[in-house]
Amino acid sequence: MSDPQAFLNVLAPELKELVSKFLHSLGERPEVVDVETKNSGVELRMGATANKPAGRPRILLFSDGPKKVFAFFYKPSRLAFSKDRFSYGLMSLHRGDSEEVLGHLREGLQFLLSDFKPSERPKKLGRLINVDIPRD
Amino acid sequence: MLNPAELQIQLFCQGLKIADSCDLMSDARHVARTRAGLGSGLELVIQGDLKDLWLNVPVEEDFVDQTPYELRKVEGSYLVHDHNESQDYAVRVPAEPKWYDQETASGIPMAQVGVLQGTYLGIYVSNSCMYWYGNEPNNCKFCTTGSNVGVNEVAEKAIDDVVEVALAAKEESGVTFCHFNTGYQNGRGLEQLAPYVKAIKERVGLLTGIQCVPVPEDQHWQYDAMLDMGADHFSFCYEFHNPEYFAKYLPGKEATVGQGAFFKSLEYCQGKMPKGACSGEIIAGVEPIQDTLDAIDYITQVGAFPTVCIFRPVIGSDMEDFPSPEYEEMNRVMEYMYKACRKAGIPMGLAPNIEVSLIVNPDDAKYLVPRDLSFKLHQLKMKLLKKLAWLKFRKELQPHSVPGDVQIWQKKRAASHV
Repeated sequence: MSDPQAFLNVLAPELKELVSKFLHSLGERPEVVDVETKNSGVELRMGATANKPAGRPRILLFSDGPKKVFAFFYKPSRLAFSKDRFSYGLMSLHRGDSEEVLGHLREGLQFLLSDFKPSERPKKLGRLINVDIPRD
Repeated sequence: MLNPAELQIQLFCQGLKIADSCDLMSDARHVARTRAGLGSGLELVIQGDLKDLWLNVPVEEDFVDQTPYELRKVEGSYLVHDHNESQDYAVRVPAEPKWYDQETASGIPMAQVGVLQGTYLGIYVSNSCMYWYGNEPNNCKFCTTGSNVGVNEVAEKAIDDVVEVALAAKEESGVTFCHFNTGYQNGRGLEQLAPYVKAIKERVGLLTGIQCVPVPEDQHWQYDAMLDMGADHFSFCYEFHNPEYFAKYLPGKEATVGQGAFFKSLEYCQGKMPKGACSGEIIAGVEPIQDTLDAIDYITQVGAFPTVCIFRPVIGSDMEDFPSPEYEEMNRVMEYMYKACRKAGIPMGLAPNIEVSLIVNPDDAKYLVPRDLSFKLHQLKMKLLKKLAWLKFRKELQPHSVPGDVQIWQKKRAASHV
């Protein structure tokens, strides 16, 4: 895991604690989840194992201020030269019930690990993208 | 050996792999998921003796893993290799326009305002189609528009930015046509587009096309208002002729306006414009083929031209797991489309430099019929008509004032409250 501290430091303490807890919990899972720190935020993907290459789906966690975290679900282009991102939706997470926020993040993770299987799609995951998604 | 249209249809249905020899980073337009519902691929041009064919080839979807077609670069030129038949086909990879990376005066990268789709400029002017809003969106099931605004382009387009991009596209890429799309805007799509269309006419000088969800019959005056703004073309995307498929896969359109509104608007607009100025847009490869053929008959009998998209199970759409259509069926549809246009006297290929890469253009499908005497006579007729049409198009390609009043919507609303 690369160090996501810069992204976390932008967040308000309560939200920072929740996201930190979630990211920390990834290391305790049986699946391999790669976490990459980017300029735009923190990106998760299913990591490669002995039998399986790394997954194509991604979750980009980013924020536009201290009070909100967005989780953008997408598949990157499989063409090396393409900048395209194939969106599966956006989850918007605010401060509030910490267990609820963690629950949403876990559901999102489950969706990622399922290779974005439609039946695993979280209810909280909106299809409409009404914010600009940052790029590195 | 396939002819160019056969290859075009094969590539739409089966997609294309990219060989390591290709240098698309330097040679190609970036593959941008624009807001056009079924586009997400690589822009290619198939060379042919009657005309070159533009297409947006699927390269990202999972079904492409099975394709026998592969793009290769050999001695500086591109070709499509067919692994099944061991054939090579000469193709061209259109370069990315230089203006894509330029910024508008307000600092927006131009490719986030509009992009080329084939040879025309496509602009989606505002926030996402409203069918995507709400907890249970009513979006068209094949589409990913609402999931991509903000991802690959800016959501709101300023008129000055659009004008600046259109000027660059005209000057540097020879664009002649600017196509505006709004998705569903609660019946306000035409009003939203009016100032853009007027600005393009008055400050740039391009042919303009409009694609909005239709307004109710008592609002058809809005189409007249758009004609006054300088609209040259209206396209009505009703996608499926079979009412059951329309209702099932286009729940938003079904709930808000219904299939009949598309027919009434298409008939109204086409009735006011030269033959072939409007189009009915449909998707082939989902509903039974006979329904698609019936759609083509209906559209051409109205005097409009059919724009037939080959269904693509786009990544991230609700129909992602659907199969890509069968080549033989799509070939039959496109041949039928060409013959229906000829039978109804719909002009084909008259507009200057407008090649739509997301569809098989009616004019592209001429490769699918025998080149007999009647074909040659028809070709000659179209050539003559094209020369005559140029007189009108030449005027439209100069900036000129238009009589439309963008305040007409407000005035009508104020009058209705009095």
